[in-house]
Amino acid sequence: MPLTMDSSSQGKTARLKLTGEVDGTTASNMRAEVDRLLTSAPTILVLDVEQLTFMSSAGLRVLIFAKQKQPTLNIYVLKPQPPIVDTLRKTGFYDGVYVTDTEPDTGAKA
Amino acid sequence: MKPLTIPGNLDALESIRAYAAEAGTSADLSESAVYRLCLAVDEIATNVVLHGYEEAGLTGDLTLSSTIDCGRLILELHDAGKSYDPTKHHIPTAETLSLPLEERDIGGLGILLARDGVDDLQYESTDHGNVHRFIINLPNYKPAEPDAQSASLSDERRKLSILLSISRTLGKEIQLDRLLVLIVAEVTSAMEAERSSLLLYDAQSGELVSKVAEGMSTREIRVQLGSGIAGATAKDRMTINIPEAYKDSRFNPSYDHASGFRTRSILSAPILSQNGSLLGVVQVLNKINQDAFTADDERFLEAICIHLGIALERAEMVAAYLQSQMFKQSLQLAREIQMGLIPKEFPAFPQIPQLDIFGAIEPAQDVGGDLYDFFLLDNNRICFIIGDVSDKGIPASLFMAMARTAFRMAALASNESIASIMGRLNDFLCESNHSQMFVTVFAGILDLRDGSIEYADGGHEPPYVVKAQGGAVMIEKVGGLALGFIPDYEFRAGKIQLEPGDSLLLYTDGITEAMDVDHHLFGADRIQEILDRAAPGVSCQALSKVLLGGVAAFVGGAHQSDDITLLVMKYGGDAVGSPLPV
Repeated sequence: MPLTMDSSSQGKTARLKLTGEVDGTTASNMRAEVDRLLTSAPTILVLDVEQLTFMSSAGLRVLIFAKQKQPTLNIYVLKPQPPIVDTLRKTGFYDGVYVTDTEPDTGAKA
Repeated sequence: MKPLTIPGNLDALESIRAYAAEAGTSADLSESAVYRLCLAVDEIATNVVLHGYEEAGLTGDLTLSSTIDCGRLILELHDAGKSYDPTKHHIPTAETLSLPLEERDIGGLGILLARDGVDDLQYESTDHGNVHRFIINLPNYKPAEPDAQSASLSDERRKLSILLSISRTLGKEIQLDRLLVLIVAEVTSAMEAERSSLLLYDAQSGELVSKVAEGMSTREIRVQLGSGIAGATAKDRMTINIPEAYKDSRFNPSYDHASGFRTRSILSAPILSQNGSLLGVVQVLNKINQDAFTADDERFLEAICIHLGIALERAEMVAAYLQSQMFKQSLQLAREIQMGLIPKEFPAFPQIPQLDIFGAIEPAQDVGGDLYDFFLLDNNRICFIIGDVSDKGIPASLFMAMARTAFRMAALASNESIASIMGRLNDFLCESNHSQMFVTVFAGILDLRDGSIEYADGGHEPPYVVKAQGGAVMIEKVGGLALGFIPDYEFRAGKIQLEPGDSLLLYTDGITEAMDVDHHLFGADRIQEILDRAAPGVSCQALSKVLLGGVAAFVGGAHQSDDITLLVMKYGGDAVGSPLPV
């Protein structure tokens, strides 16, 4: 299943809805979209992954690149499916992002 | 599931995941386990495409296959790219995994997820490329309870595999002694016995023979057919199964007494050749952990014996062939030594018209030690010798070669009489004769000026003078001992006077002792008859042909066991200008 993306920016919050699968093929599209969103220097990136059914390490690397580009960025992972939570836990990403089932407030965590 | 083969680029990933998902689902894996398997396969396939193919500038396919074996789901990913072993790759430690994301290394995450997704990730580099194996132990797998039928099936399978192994092991060995050792070891292990023994059938003596190792030496045990259990097995060509050896009257406990071994049960089976003839008997003693051998064991040992028969027969054939080859080669060598030393070109002295001389050896298949030789001492005298070494084969050929060389040296080194030349030759042969051989010799010097021959005899056959006008006379020799026995023996000289046109005919006992198919000897009388009937004035070669033809006709198809040798010389006198026509 290919990856479709829907992005928006509002103030310091950028949103990216990912539908489908992020793998070695589609991760480059995701990265390009994240890079584009980062140009407006958001402090929050909300990744809506409710409809994301698969994510390999290629998707994780996009998150690393984003944080390297903008270390103060807070990444929210919204409504991930259990296998993706599992991946985030195993790779230590669970502690580096905000995994949440509810829309984040504008206030950011430390 | 049918394997999936797809070009090795990133577009393949989706299909690969779909394949892995189907394999996992059909193996009843949980949803999360299926996801982890897909993730593992996806991560490795991504690495193969990026590092094995694209970075290395290579292209090729990816093939994914799936099997379930002994409770394990095994997915194999084959590729033809550069070697990439994920099992050797470092994975992030707990420490690095807890670093802030911006400080994280981007490498190693895929391998971590791949290893985590399966119970075992294996990598193998093959001739065709790389194989990654994803193994998941199936949680619901229960090995089938071994019921009676499957237990017997697995036993049959074990036996079949042992038979194959025996056949393979024995097939590699063609040397009989080593084969026997192998057989005993293989049979003991295959039959789960404490000991085995092998007795080979000696068709000549009609006995079974076993070589028993005793320390550094071997002892031979011979068993009559029909005697004891092995003998009974051989005689009846039947397997004998004895549950309690000491209760069987045929059992001979003396081997137990001698060895300290305690025989309980015996299974004894004949080894037969392809055409059913007896090759030997194999016995296995004391079934391990059981009281006796079963009917199944009987059938199994009989099956093994079929393989033993083939191996034994083959080893015996190879041994016989090698022996015959070696024998043939040694005979050929002996023959070459013998024939290489005698003058074979005729006419031998075309520059001396008053001398016609001809010699021939018809070597026996067994190669005797006959010799003849002749050479000029000066312009007027020719020295000759004919001899017959007592033995046959290579030793006789060498002894003959030695005698011939020593004779030449003695004759050419001095101007001595033939009697003293013979004396020297005898002394030399006595000195160098370690193998107790001897040689009968008749040697002489023909003076071409007057036809006189001075000769010495060393126990050889009496020669004939074939007269110019026809008819032959056997010479009454002065007599003497065969050479090689008694040193310092004094040979006496004898004299023969040839008239112009007379021939002297010398021969070895290969002629007088030639046998026909009824074992009658050719004898001296037949020589006399043939020479008497020969045309007067015939050449030496023609005379030889007539005599040898007579011998051949007498012998017929019988085996020639000794060399047949002839030396004929004709004194032409002044009257004969050239050798007479044949």
